Amino acid sequence: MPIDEKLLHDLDERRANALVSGAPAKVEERHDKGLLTARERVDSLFQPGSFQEFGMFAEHQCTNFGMGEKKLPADGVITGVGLMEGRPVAAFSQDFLVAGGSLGRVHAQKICDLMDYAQRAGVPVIAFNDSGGARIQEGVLSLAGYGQVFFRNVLLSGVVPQIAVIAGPCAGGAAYSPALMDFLIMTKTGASMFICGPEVIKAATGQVTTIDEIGSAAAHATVSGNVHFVANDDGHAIEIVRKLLSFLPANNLVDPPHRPTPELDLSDVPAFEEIIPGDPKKPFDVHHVIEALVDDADFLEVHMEWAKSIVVGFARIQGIVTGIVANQPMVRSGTLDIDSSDKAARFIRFCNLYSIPIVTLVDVPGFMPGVAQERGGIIRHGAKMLFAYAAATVPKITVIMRKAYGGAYLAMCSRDLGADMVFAWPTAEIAVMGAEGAVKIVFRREIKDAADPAKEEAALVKKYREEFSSPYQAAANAQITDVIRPAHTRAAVAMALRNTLSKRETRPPKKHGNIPM
Amino acid sequence: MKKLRVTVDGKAYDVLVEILDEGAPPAPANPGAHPAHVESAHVSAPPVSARSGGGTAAAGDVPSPLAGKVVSIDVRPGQSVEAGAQLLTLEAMKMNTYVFAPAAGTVKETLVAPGDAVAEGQVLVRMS
Repeated sequence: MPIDEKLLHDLDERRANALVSGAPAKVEERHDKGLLTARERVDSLFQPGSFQEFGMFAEHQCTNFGMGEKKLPADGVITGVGLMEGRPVAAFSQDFLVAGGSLGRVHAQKICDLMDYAQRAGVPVIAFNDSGGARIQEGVLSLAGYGQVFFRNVLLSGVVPQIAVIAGPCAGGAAYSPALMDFLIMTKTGASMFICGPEVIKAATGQVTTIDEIGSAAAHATVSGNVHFVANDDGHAIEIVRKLLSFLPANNLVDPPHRPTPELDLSDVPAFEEIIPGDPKKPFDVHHVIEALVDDADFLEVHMEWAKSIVVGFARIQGIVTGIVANQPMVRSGTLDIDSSDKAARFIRFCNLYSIPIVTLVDVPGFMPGVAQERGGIIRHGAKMLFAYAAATVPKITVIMRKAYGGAYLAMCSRDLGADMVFAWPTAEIAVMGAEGAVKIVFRREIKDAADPAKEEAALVKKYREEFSSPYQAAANAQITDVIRPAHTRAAVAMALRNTLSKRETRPPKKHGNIPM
Repeated sequence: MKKLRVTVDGKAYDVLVEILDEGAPPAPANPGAHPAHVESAHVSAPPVSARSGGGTAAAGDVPSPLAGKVVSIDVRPGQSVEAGAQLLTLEAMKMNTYVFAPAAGTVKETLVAPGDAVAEGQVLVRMS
């Protein structure tokens, strides 16, 4: 006796209803606005037909406020696993068409189940956030749901990469789940993220503001630093997810997807010697150095518009996945300040978690001087850089292009903080401080007693610079691996990465270090 | 199976060579298609209006990115400039820092002179 056709028909109908979120007309409306539905976001993330959905028929159990009558397909969130470039990846996507994507108990449970699965399977998690917030009718169970998601964000942190896409509203406590993840991508229009919105701010403080000022992608990508990438639309956001994952391992126990070239290209790259200006005062755009260093000039910059005096991002160098950290002399003289220290430290720690070697490009005159910096805690923020580099056990290769002074020299992955190899260009100035300042302290009396103090000072500065503001003092003291021609940088770094890729370093066991916050 | 010709003392022999253990073929430099370059969309910081406590900076005001000394003014009042044009040069931390036009427009006035010390956030140039 074959299966009863009615059963199959019933299943098909239920499935069809879920696929349009129970609201076919609203799907059209969304398309008219140029937005993808929650399900389309997931579908375009994965290879066609490869999405395995978890809990399509899940339903809420709430009976408060007439909710018993309401059907909420999939309880407002699509969860499951699919294939991206042949690699399994877990994803959840909040469905704004179902009760505004609000988070209730079952909605939260589905997200938690998916995250538990991702942890067991060792696969990355992608989270599309598009939700009005807590489902108020479900009361404290909704609140508890957020807590359970946050708890899992923390459990998974450092185990599998977690990437959030803010593709709609993400307000109040809901913003803390993406904030606990590794990378946030936010669409330029239609998305917002804040703890307290303009109405609440006005009621509580009297300040009049707008979502653009406090919660837009532009605000978070340039001012608050909450967002790592801005996407023009849903499709662009998915491209960024795909590109990001192309550099990341599935979990912390496997290697990143290196694609070592069968032969190392050791040829010189003359471009490096054209980028570095003859005048040490003249800034240059460190992006040009990165482009000359990495394969196909293909560099995925993280936090492109925030704390721009440091540049961080992912690339491959002769096939080896690498995290790049580079001072940017074009912006604020390339100094380390509060925000740039925070930005670099977090990136370094991410690379360390996922076995991604770090290449550091140095041209740093120092930490940013200023009252705001000191009062803002540059000491504890700058300390994050020292902490992150010293704690990182991945291969660490440093290239000192130009200035490397004082504490900032140490903070940019000096040998003393555990760099495996340090190369310096002949233009490098490695010293405890700049010549002018040093001479004033060391030769205070000589200058004061000289017949012509100004002339004496100038002569001493010149002498100091010749002796100390060069790579050779450091080289003589075996503080660096080698002084190289800039043109040889790509070959030297590529070789260093290959030679160091098998690095293993164990540290005393402990719960975790106490990084300054 | 490879077909080879071996010449010994001027006499050619055709031989068939079977390679029993070839190992894995060498990986191509970049297997598959080159992934397209992807980057974050460009955005600029939304200005905070005075009513939300953002100070009195008006649209078109170009603030100093850091505290330093003015080295040179690189535009004249009345000059029209493209977005990204170099407006003036500052010196801080023994490094020159260029200040660029945030958008295309006309330089209305320059508020500082070479040698002036400027504070971070101080308006340097007004544009319209």
